Amino acid sequence: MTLASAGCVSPLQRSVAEQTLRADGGYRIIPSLAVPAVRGVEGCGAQALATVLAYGDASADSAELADGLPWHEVGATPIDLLLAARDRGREAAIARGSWEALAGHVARGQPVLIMFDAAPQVQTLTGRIPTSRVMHWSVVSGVAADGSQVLLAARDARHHVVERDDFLRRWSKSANCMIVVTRKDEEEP
Amino acid sequence: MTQLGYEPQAARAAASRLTAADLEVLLANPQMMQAAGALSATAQANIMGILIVGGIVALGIAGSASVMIN
Repeated sequence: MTLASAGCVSPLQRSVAEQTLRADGGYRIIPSLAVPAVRGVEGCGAQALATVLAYGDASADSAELADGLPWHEVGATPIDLLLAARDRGREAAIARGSWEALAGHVARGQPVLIMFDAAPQVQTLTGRIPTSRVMHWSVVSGVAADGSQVLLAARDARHHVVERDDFLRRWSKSANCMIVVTRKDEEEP
Repeated sequence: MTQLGYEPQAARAAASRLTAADLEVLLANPQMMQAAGALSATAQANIMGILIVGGIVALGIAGSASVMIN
């Protein structure tokens, strides 16, 4: 009976249109993040870094940037992303993040790269069945004003909405790894 | 770094470009030293396995219950 009500849910399965979230009024959102499509089975590192590199640069095309990054069939490490951002003339800083730090960057309009466990969660009436860890790069694109949810950038002007507790549990699997990429003329991360 | 898949030479080159601040964070947080990709085929297979086994158990429970009712 328990398993009959089981669900297999990843925080990245569903997304909400930015327009809908704006109309709701309960979110602080970094607008117009261009999340590109990527080729290959492990392209999230290229996708996330390209999104951040293209942000605020009218001449940049995130799809072209992603295409020029090497990680499409292999995963990307934090070192890969740090060095690739610096190779492209950006400041990049890695840190052990916190909810407060994320909210602060969102308030300053700085999208943040994060690594977290995106594994689908198999939920039953009696609890959660552990599944293999699936580490994933994503871009924090907003937070709920009441601190209850985080937004992760999705394609086509959409955002994944993740409950704070679920997000913090998943983020802890990377020791709250976060990378802030800024232009050299921008405020230091 | 070689455990993460870097060739020894590439590992040395990458490490030499990291700043003291980078190294401080990475060494204090070894869980950060992993590669992240999208849902891998292995992980999806594991999850499908759990769901299939779960489905078999659920069908078994449902089957036993119907026999008892009859």
